[in-house]
Amino acid sequence: MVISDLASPVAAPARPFGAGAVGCARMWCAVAAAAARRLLCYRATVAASILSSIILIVLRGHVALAVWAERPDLAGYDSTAAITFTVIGQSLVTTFAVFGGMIDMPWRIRNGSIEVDLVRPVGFQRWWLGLEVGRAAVYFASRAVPAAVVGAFLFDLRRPASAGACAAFGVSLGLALLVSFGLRYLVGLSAFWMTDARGVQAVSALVMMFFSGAVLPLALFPGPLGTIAGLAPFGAVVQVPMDLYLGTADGGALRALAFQAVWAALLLLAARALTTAGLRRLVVQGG
Amino acid sequence: MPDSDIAIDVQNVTRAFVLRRRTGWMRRERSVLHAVSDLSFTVRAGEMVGYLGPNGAGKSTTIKMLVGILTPSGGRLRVAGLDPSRQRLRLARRIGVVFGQRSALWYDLPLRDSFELVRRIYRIPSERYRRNLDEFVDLLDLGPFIDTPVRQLSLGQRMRGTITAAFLPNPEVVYLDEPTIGLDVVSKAAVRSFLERTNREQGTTILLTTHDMGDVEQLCRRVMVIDHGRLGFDGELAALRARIGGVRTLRVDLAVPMPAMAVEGAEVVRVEGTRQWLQFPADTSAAPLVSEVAARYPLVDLTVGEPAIEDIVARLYTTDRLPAPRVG
Amino acid sequence: MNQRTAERTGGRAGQRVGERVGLLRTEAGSYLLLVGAAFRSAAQYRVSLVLYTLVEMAGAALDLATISIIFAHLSDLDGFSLAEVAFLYGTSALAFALAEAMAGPLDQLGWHIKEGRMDAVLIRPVSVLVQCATMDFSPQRLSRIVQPVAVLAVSVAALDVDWTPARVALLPAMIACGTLISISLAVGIAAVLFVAPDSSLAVSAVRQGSALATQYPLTVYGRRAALLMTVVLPIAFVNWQPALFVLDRPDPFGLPAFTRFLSLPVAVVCAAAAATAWRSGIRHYRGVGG
Repeated sequence: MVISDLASPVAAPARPFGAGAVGCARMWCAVAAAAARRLLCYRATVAASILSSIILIVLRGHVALAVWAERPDLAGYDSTAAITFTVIGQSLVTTFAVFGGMIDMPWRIRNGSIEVDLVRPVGFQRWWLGLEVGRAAVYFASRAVPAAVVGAFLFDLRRPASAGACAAFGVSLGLALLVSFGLRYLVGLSAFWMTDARGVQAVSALVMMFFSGAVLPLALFPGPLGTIAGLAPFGAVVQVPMDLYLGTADGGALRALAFQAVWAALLLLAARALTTAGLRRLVVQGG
Repeated sequence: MPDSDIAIDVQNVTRAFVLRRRTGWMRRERSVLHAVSDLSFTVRAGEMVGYLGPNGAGKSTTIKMLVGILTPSGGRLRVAGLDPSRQRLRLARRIGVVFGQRSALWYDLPLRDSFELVRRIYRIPSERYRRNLDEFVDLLDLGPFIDTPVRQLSLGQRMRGTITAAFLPNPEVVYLDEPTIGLDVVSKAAVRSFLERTNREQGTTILLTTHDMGDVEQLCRRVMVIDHGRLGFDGELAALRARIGGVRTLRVDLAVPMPAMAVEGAEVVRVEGTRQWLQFPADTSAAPLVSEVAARYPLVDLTVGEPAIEDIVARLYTTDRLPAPRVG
Repeated sequence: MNQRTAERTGGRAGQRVGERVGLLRTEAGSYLLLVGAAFRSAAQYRVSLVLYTLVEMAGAALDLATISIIFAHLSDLDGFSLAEVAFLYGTSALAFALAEAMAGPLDQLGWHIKEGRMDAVLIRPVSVLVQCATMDFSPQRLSRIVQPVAVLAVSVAALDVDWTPARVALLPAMIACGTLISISLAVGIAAVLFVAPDSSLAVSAVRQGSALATQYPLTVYGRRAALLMTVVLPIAFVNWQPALFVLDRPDPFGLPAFTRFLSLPVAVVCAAAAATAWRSGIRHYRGVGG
């Protein structure tokens, strides 16, 4: 074979580690950016999504106001805190895809496009996380913020409890994304074992929606339901960030953040193990 | 053959699928499908090989195993010295794949963005990337639509883009699965000349699966034919032609219109005015035939045609005609 | 005008009505045929059928759970007792579930248009609406009516109401009209997809929003919003207005007494509006060339 191009990979020396890590990070950012750019192409979808959020904000907001009008200090929130919780919590739903989905892995497995993913020299889980970060960033800017702004016009909302609360809220948003990604990614992985993962997806979507705190603050859940809601990872997605915003986190801000971090770590580790297992199953068994 | 010279090494590879079919209410039927049986071949670095076979023959299965998407049930596979199923990510950096039906391009973004992403993913140095991109844009005429979103592109444009994306990182081995299917004539020609040139100048090993005999004729000197999971032929295209036979055509232009010629060893199949077509067995020489026609008839001009590839391969696919596996 | 002309004119008008009725009957026939086919193909996948049915029921359970949790802390919401809110929930959920089963598949219209399937649809000798409604028909959606029926039954038993014949008769009537209004809403909004196929999300948002809003007493949303839902997007007539009569409550917004019985005329108007919107949508699609 004639090496006509000295820069071809055959002739290239091994890359030093440092450059490799930087290259990896830049690649990852590029993936996220591409995912983000792709979403911005569809303006009608963005408008529709904002409309959807606003409708739900208005409906749930009014119900919350009616409930807190009857019981002014229910679950440790006052009326303004409750409405802030509902409005901002609801506006975050699309960012974290609390209703499930946004990871079309099962669909790609079913129609074979997964092959293209497997030919890429990028780690499987890493790839999907990259896409997710891009998507979440776009959804936050294009849907969550406008919806929250409209909500602020329609209702009397409260500002973050303090500068510390604001910072904690910011950090918790990132952690919430990791938890949400972990949950939905795990659900997506089920497609490696099940021919039709839609049942699992549908059920998990309901559970995630209900126990995230987006429908009702988890503190309202009575008895054993409340206990489960407090321990489950789903609450880390909406309930914890909102509690940090309002300063009403049970046991303090650090405990809440730790709760998120622990669940994020557990979910991502489980995801890694299942990714390896799932891929192995796919390549051994075939499509 | 020195080891470093071998790009693809396949030895006695088998791949079986277990199929479960539901028969009736509760019962299930279990059957085993051997997609690939005892497949063996080696491809040297820099070769361009055509991989032919009817649908369901095992071509896609072979490619999937070579890429690492599927593990073989038995046998040994090495690509660029690596085991695809065990070292998938490492190998992925050095190969390119073009799936005919599936695109690796981002559907909603301009073509250029997909290329940028390839640059990042494969960590191509910007100097080499720019050089490659300029060259490919020129060769495949991507200029007019490189900034158009992929979803607005025609099939031919998309395929040219997909091929560019696969070749941008200067891979050592590239697999193309039906790359020219459904393409317009212009795109087909561009793709073929691109492949030929890249193979020649970069020394990229190329394995090309195709049903288009035009691809094979123009690009591949060596072909492998697979059917029902078994390799039926592995050798030069010319040898394949010779072995399977078929007929060759002699087109004769006479000075005046005449009735059908009577020539030994050939048969007139068509007469149109001064022109007549004769068919004769492909494995015999055309020379004596030509001299006889020239001697006995007022000959003005003649052309010898090769047997149609379709004809050859179709004969090869007919099971009872399948010759024993042989390396040409 | 002599008698013969009158007969002829009457005959022609009658003929047109007859044609329309005949057309409706053919459409209904095709609808049932296609739905039957959907049932049969769904029955092939027994396991998924059971699974999805359970999933659909779980989905309905979510809304009910929300109400239950609220009433775990309150004795009444805006002056409405649990039984009364449950009645509102049951009637709304039932009407919307029936509509969802029949017209829910229209959600997919945007997707079908983008995938270029509308041309095949337009060629076939079945109305576009029937095809779209049956293309993605899933029998599992029907399971969504089970829970509201149960809730409705329980709430009716628990309600402290004087069950006059009028009230009893109004129950099935309000469900029927509510379903028709909901279907009209679905069809009318889906027509927007012919113009903007990307707005599927908005379409389902309006439908889900309507379903959610009517689960609660409309007083919760304030006067302006409630009037909007009565006059502009008349979902108040799905369950709220007739319920005011059944529950024997004065209209909190001061609307006259006869509005409670307007569900049927409103339903007819909505159906007509939806049909017009749908037809214009198709005309637009044909005109634009898809």
